Amino acid sequence: MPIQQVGTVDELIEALLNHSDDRAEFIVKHIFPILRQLPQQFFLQNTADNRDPLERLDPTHYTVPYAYFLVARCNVERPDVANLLTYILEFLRSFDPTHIRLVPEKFLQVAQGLCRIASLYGNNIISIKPLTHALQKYSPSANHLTNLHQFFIKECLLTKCYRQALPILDNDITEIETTGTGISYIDHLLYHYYGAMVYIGLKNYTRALNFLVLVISTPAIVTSQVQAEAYKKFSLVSLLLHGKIIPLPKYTAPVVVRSIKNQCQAYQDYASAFESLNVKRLRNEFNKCSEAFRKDGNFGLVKQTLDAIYRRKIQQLTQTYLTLSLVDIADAIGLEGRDAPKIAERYILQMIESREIFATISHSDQGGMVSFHDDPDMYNTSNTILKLEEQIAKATKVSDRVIQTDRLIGCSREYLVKSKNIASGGVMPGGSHMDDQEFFAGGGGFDNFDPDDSGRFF
Amino acid sequence: MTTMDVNMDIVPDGEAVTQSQISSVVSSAPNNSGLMVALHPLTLLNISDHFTRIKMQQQIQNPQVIGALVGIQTGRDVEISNSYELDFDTIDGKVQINHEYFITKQEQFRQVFPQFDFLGWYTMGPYPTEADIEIHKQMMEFNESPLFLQMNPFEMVTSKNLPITVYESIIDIIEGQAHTLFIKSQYKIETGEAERIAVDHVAHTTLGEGGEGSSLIAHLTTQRNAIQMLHTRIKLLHNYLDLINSKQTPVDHDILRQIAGLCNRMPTIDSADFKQEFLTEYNDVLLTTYLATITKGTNSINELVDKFNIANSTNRPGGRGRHQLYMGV
Repeated sequence: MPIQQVGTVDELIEALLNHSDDRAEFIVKHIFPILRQLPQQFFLQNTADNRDPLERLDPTHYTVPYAYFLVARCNVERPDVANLLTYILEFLRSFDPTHIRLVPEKFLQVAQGLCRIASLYGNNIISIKPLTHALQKYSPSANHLTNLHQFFIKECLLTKCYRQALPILDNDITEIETTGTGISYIDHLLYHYYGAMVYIGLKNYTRALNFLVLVISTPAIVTSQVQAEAYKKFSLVSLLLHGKIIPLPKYTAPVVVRSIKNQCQAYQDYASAFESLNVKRLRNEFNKCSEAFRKDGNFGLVKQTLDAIYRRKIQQLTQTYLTLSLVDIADAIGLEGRDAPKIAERYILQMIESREIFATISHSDQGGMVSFHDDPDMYNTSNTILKLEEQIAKATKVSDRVIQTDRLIGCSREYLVKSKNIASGGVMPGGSHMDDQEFFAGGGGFDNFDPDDSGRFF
Repeated sequence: MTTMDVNMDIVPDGEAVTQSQISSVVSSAPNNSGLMVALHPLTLLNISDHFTRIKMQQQIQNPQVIGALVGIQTGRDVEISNSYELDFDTIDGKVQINHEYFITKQEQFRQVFPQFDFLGWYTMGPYPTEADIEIHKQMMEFNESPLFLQMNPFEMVTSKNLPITVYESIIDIIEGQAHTLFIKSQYKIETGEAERIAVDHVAHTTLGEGGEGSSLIAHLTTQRNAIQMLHTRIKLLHNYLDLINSKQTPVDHDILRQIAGLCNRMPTIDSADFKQEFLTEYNDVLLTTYLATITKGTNSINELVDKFNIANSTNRPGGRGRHQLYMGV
């Protein structure tokens, strides 16, 4: 079918209004060719009677052309901010997700356009909420990764709206589908890296650590700079949470491990100083590398570790002493100065409130005495019941997901081909430590086995 | 002795209609023959098995099965120990017992169990009918007064009684004619040690159907049924008290005293100590469940990783698979 030629915007609108079929294949076959061969300039024009074509088109039914128009207008040097803003917000409110997934790159451009317009308008924050809703509508499910995710989180970081990102971040990414989402490898790395930074900003260090480990241990043939930066943050967050750098997973790509050794030497020195719990040594290291830290934008995190080392030392004290005076505590953790006992008391108060230690401070004698206790939580309240039930539900959900993926792999072509080779006498991959019984009992894919083959393994 | 009338008065509180009310061949006279029937579970299992087998094999909803009962009779004590199936033909709508088969079978039984006699026969059905009387007359050739056992396979087994009725036969004079009628007889279940084990086993297997018969599931199902029964009984009592409250039923002080006694006997489960211990144990169980869930999840992950390794390995022999994206665990 010959591609319909459209010369002016009016003709385009006529053509669109004539083809009012909503189905995706139809759009791809008819509308796309028209739109694709039109140059960027075309979409800047107005209709013959000098009205904005965006007024005539309904974003829900004509999502794709609307997006084209929007993108063109956003990229001008001096766009018409007020009007454009209304159009974009209208679009983000009422677009049709199935249509827009046919042109994911355009959607990303719309979002970028929105942020540019918002900054020109003077208030970046207005773009965050509409983008949240749009993103939730756009992605095929809450667990899918799209090309918009990393851009959105970056915007949240730049505008410091950390909490707005939480509804998106709290859903773990478990599905990757390249068709409707236009993602690439870097999207995954960036999304989790930015996500970790948001969590650090919100002081949720556990989840930040999870995300960073995800980034660092992504399978790679060449190290990405994102992974190196992630490792730097990872070492600092790990110090805050665990007092040492926790070992990376075994499946981290060897290239990454080598690059980390080369690039992040300063951080590893700093971490070993922290581990030794020697305040002087830590300060030395800090002074040595402060420039490097500042350059990497990790200065805030490093300052927090300086604080954290005192907390760790106090925790160590709880394991040795039952009671200790504030003066002694201040000495033991390396605080100096006249105010040292007061500062120590402040630390201890903070830690008691955040339930990191259990202690009582008594000022009955001159100078305070702190007595440490064991964890009084007997875990026999209805609180614990709720927590446990929550955890059980989570574990069951993850387990179901794993079983699903297990079945999918079991039915996949590669697996069946390989397992057939093995059964007919090939060599087993993965080393010689295989436990035969375990292996052959576990395969769900054997249900689809070729019955002619030797059944001697059953 | 007055003859039984078909339309007997229905028992006023609407309890389950007993069979003898509708049947015309069962006498309503009280049974004072003094016959004490002891029934072994083996017999019941046999009868039930016979019926189920015929039903499954011939795909009929309600087939007619007839069999013989054997056991020992000493004076007025009758002990029914065993049973076997009988062959019969239906000629002109009437049932004829296959005599040769019966005699052969009886001889064989006599050889193995010399002390067992032919005591009676059984069939299935809700209540005895004329046809049963006919068959009964045929049986009388081998035993002057055989017993008739009837099992109702479709009765709800919610009450404590088994759906079994044992009848004796009496000759009744109705309008000058001698009729054979049935009279209900008392029976009790007598269990030998071996039978106790077998019945127990069968009962547990039926509970564990639909799986490998995990004993934990069976145990939990029993508990669940018990709790359910407790719940229904308590609801019944509660309803009764409600009715008394709304003055729909006359107050029966005896029952009220019993209910009060029951309430007083209940353990005090409101104390703080109890709550503490209960919560602790509850949390322990939850924790164990959590651990089990995690273990199962870890197992699935293990399988997943194995499959992944195979699917992504290269075809080269040896341990070269390590060079590729090896998800070692």
